Amino acid sequence: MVSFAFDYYLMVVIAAAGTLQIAAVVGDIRGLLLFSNTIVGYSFGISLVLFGYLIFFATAERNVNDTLGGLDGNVQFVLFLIGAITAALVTFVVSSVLNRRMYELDDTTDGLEALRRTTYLKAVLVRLRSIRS
Amino acid sequence: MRELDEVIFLWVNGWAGKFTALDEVMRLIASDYLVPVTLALILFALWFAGTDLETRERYQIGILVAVFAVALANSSIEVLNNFYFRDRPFLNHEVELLFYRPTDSSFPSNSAAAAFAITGSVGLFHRRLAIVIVSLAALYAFSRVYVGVHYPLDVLGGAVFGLVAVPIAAVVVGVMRPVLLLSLRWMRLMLVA
Repeated sequence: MVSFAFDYYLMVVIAAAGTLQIAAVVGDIRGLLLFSNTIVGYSFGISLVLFGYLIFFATAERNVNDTLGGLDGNVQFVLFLIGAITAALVTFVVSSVLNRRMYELDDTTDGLEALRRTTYLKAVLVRLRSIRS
Repeated sequence: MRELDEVIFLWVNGWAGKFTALDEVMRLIASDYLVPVTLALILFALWFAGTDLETRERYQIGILVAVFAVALANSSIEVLNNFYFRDRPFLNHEVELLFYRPTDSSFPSNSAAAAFAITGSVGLFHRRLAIVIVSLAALYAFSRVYVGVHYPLDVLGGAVFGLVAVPIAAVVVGVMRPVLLLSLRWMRLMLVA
């Protein structure tokens, strides 16, 4: 059960990270992109999603009843939520490091709009500075 | 009605076991993980995908409707199954079973309810994407019949449960809108919405 749950979590983290790259390309959120070229970013996103599915479905039999080691709907929901949040956090950090040369906003634009022109960590820093002053 | 349901089931399931490649594809689609995770990932993508603040907020409220509709549909089914229980097809028929043996009620299908609740919710705010998702949900429902774990009426009933849950969820979310907008505003301050 634990191994099954971990495999599921891993699939969600990888596939959600890929999905986030695709969404960032579609929504033009440049601060979250891992590749500046949108076609490369889009392809990388799709590859990550497929890789996530592959490592889950190709490594073991997954049609297992939840009474015999599979995951019931509630556990799936919680693990998906945790996996998606993990993927978002990893993307925020990695994209901030890779795009560190990106322009730093001096205003405090709200939400994902800010990430069109700067990285997550830079936007957070600007926000913290504005709170202090 | 029930007899017709069983005849259609036996016809659809009659194709199982004839083409190995098709069986493997159907087993994969019918899995508890492939379509549900794909649908959840589509909702996850929509959270970030809006091109402006107004669109993104509409999508995000829609996603909350979807989550609430799934919860509502599945809880209703759980309540219903305390009063009505239908045996799985493999208990009463000679079935080519390509799946594990579920022990809960066959009618209505939880999986179909969840898939169609998400489809209906997405239809409220993104019609074009809903057309893609409805195909995925229909294929998922069909695969459950093909692999031998549901009668056609089970998945049809599940779809109705899921779709009926959508307007109810939309009304509830509409009532809670001021609180949800406040939460979204807080999430925007954290740069995650």
